[in-house]
Amino acid sequence: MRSRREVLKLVAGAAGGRPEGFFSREEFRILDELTETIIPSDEHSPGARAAGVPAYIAAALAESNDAGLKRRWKTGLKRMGRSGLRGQENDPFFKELKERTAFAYYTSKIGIHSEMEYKGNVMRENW
Amino acid sequence: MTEIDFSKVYDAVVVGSGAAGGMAAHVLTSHGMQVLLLEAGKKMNIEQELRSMEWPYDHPRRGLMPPGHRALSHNEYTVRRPPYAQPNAKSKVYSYIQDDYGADYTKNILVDEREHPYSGTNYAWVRARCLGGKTNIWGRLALRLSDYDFKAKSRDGFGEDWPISYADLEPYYDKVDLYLGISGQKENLPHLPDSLFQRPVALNAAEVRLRHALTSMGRTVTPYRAGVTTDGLKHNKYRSRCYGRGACSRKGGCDIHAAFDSPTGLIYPAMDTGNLTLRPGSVVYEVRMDNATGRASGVSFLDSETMRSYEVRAKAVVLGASTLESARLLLLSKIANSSGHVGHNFCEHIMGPSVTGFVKDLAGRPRTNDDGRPGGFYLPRFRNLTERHLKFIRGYGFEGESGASMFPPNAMSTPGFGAAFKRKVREEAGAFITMGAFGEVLPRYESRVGIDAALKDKWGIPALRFDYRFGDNEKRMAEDMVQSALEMFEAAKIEVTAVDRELLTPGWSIHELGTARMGKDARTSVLNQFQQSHDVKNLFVVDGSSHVSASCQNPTWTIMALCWRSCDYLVERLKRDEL
Repeated sequence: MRSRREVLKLVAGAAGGRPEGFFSREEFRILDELTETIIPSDEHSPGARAAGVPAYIAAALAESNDAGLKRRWKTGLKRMGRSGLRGQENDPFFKELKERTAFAYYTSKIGIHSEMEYKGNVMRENW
Repeated sequence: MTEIDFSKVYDAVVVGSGAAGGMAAHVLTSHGMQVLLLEAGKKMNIEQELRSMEWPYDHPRRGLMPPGHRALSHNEYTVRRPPYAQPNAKSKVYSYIQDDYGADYTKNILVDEREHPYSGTNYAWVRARCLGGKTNIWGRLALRLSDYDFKAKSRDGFGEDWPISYADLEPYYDKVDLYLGISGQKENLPHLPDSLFQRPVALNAAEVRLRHALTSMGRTVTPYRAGVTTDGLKHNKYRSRCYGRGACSRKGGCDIHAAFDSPTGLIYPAMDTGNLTLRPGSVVYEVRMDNATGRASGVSFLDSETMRSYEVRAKAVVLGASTLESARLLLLSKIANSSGHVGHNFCEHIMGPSVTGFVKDLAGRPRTNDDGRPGGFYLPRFRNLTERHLKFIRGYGFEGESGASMFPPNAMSTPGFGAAFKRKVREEAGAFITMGAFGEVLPRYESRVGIDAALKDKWGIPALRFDYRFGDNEKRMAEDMVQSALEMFEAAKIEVTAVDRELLTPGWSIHELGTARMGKDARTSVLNQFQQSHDVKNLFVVDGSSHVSASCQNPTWTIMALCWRSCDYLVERLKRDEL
């Protein structure tokens, strides 16, 4: 689906390093709170926090060599930490935050197996 | 892999190891010819690259590339002009195809644009330099052409007819089907002939709904005709049958090689004959001529690492370097071009127009395994068959799919956040259906590539310059693609949720064709019906450059059928000493 490919490129960059040294403790707390607000735990499955979404996002940003991207996230988190997410849906930073959250969540173990109950990536003798 | 014997005159030297070069190696060696196969790229440990079943969360970047690697965006292709990457750029720069969460699995298959520049008009040129070329990453839709394509000029007056008809190629399509395996369902359509199919994939609920709705319109939704062996191939020990495992849409090949790729499908079996010498890392830059006889004597190549130059000799030279690279090689060698048509009549498929719809009653259903199929569906051409469309000639088909995938297709497009967002993504993820069109680009003489002597690649070889644009026929066709897709979704009572109207950058379909076309008339074509140069009798060009028109069907199966036919002819002539 083209939209998926088009959108994923916005999520460029990735994880690998460690969050320390990029986000302050306070910034990471805000990230943790906002991502869990976007995809919360519910009766069906655990949410972004349990899926390790904030750590993944932080690690991706930490190893990125895009200085503008890093700045955007620092200021964006600060601002959204104060305002909360309600009413921010047209904000470009909200979109970036939501896209990265969704990417990290739906590629996580919890996202794929518990939440989406994905049936593929198994050998099937008869199909 | 054995060393080249430079004192030897090989029966044939084959340049390129993708669908065309691999097929040439297979057919020639099976006839007992001594063949040297030269590939510009590496021979990779492909199993290590592919890791088809690795879960995203087991990859350190969930399949994304590391920092310092980047893919060109659609915007860059549109706003800027090639070359798109400067040789001194800090990042490795890849074509758009690397822009995906499976990108890290293909980063060694596809070329770094910094090393492979080109100039001229905008073009998204996707190249894979490694053993097997683009067959390592192809989309696998394996279709036949028909006389609606081969004799298109006779029907609408544009361009040239092919020098062959369907009857000439049919036995070779059959051979390709049986040797490589193809999955699909018989439909008895005159414009999309059936193959000798192995077991088809099943259409899922939304796809069946579309199929039923279109029957009354005289249109067909058929299971994806995939170059994938679903029943297995007893004669090939390198390939397994498909186990419907899923995540097939991740770019990069299939680690059990149920999906056709040239190395396991063609080249490894050719090596087992003992008649094939393979040399990767061999960048061919010239076809050598013997001026006394007017025949090609062999080729010159550079070792891609040491930059040392070598010359090898052969009784026949077979180019399968890809449509654009073969044209480049002919132009650089200044041969086989008495017609002046080399590089011209360049064509491909437009793509971009697509629709996505939502089938309400499928929402909330228990999860199914839908991407365990090599593909979803194909909706063959329906324009300009029995009646003429007023606004454009030729036609287009749609590729589409529906159902659950590893990454929910609606995760990025569903509005809002919180528990309601999460529930909506979960419940609706399997209920979408999407299809995108591939349409014929007319082969115009003025659509061409030439040599840019001032721009050189990493090996010092002059690059290609593009002079290529879509015309009015393509633009009008694109409008009709959108219109007809909307009509068909409406007929199937599928709610449309997204429409793409924009044509993507030329090259996006990765179906470039027709820069050394075949023909009966040596004044207006480069090759005869056996892909043999009109000018140089022992020179054959067996890739997509030989195609006279693009049709709207994906070209890989036709490339291989034509190549098989031509190589049979080559061997027959060579044995009679008539090359």
